[in-house]
Amino acid sequence: MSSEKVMELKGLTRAFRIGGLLTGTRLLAVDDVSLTLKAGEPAILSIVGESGSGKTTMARIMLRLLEPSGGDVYIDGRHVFAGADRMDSHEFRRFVQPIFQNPFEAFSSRKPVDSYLYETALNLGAAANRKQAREVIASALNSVGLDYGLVEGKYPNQFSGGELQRISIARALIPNPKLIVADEPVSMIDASLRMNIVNLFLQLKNERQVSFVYITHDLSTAYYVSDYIAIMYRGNLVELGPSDAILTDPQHPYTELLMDSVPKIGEKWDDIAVLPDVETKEYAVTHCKFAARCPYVRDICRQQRPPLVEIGPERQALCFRPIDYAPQTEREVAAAGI
Amino acid sequence: MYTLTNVKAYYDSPRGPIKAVDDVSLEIRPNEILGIAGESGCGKSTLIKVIYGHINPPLRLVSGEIRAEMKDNGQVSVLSAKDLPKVWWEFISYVPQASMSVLNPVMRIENQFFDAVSRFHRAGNREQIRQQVADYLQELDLPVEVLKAYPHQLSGGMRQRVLVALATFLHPQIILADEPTTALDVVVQRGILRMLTRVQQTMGNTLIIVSHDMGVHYQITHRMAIMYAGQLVEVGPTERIFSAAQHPYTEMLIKSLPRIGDHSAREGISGRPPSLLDPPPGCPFAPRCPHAMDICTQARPPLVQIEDDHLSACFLHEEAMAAAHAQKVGAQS
Repeated sequence: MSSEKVMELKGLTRAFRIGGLLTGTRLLAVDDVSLTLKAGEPAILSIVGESGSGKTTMARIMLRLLEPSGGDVYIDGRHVFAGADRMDSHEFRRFVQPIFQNPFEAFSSRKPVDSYLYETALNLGAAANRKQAREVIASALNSVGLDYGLVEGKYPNQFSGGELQRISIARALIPNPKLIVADEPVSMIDASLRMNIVNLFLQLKNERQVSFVYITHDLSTAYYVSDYIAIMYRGNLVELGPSDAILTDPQHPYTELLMDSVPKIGEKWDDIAVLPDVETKEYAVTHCKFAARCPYVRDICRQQRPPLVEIGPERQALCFRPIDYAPQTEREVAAAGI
Repeated sequence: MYTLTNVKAYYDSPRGPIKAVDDVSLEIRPNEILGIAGESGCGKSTLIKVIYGHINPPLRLVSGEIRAEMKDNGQVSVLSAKDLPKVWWEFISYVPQASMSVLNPVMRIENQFFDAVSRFHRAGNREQIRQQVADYLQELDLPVEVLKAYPHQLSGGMRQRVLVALATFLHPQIILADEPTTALDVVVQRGILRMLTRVQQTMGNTLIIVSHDMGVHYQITHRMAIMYAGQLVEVGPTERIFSAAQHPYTEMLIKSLPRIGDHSAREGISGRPPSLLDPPPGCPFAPRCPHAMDICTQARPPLVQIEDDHLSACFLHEEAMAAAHAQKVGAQS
């Protein structure tokens, strides 16, 4: 029996100490983030943010590589980090698989790449023996457009970055996971090859019924590939919704600024726009973290943390503006749910 | 005012020369923003080094001519590659990648300015130069307080702005910027690109910007040079490159770029760029090109003029190839 939710984050928080033991400060890399990826139709959720937005910390928590400081992570309806029914590592890795940014770091240069594929197949129970494993591997490689014969016995330096990233995707497919978390999977890949990888996500979503969490700073590929987009800013999830709705009609002022700043093709920047980019200690503040840069800022934004407001079907924004700057009372803050 | 003619610059390596810049001819004009685009490892950063005259082993200028005309008090002097280091900062200057820490970490910004420019600066003593630097920063809308700061006290975006200010303080005729906004957030990137374009507009000089991001080129450049495997495959006005690319590589690259608001399927280019150690004898793109013909694997296509100011190196341009050939034969007889 499987759960109605592939993944759910509830009030997820992760703090890091930076600086010295006594003089250091606490940095909230992920600050009270809730979101859900429903089961049923597989979907691609992009988590978009700039450096320091907390997106990679979230990826590491989702991949069980880092423990949260607060909040809960559920995979397939089960606790990942605490509780009696907690998923064990083996179960977890059969359900969730990672793809990392640099494929050359994901494989040791001293071992043939297929040895990793065999390890995954045999350790995660996708095959009982090497002969079966070979079939499973060949089929996974086939799914990413590679031929087993061309991969067998070869070392990482014999592949291009794009090919190697395909192999790491094939490796991730071996246990037939329901969710793949990909952290900046194309940022090291050349532009001419990037779309081949991104298209692969779309194809695998449909053919193998895998959901993806695609973590990126690149809005244009996020828009291209995803069903839902979550925009992160300084550890906060500031806007969440269907990708078309978010990018054609951004509701959070930060999303708007981000959209305006992307060097788009076919639409030139106007030269008049004000570009706020003061960099302050925005992680530490308890009110809205974007207040110092926001063109729509009002007093309330500097006094209270904004609520996550429902602004449309499946859409939320962490902002006072959609609710006319009404102070937050006992308002029920809806948990994010896609 | 600055021309490269058949320039070859190779890195010596134990496995043979790495042909990072392989027979490149390019005209750099006054008062323009020229973009150099290409994928990682295509030689675009090396081309910038060559233009800057920063040619140190293992990089070696194998052949070709570099000719720069420097205007100085109404006089024009002609410089070659080896003369360029003598006129860094005042004739040609360089803005490095944002991720590189080129500022001295234990030196205040004002002293870095002083160190860099005092050698060339004819006007006045330390205090006068400091005042001029402060005035210049104000002109660029930068806070004067940064002069008293150490590099680590500044944000990545501010450090990069300081580097732009430093590189442009002596009003060079050519500013080279190698991926000046890589590793910076897009919001900060937009601010820095605007600063660069404003400086260029004010000074009326040449800005050459290297970027792998075609969106950056679209936004700010006037003309583009597309580089592939150490060679220029297309050079033309930016607007034409995006609306009517001539070389199959450029065309496929531009078609592959996803655009926000457009869900149509995009295809990458299959295959991979050739090794610069052992490039194919013909067109470097031939192994990946859907239009490749026999000749493409045998001979290297020269850059020929397709339309006004628009050059492309492809054997598909039969007429232009024939015209260029006839001209060459005519010139020889």
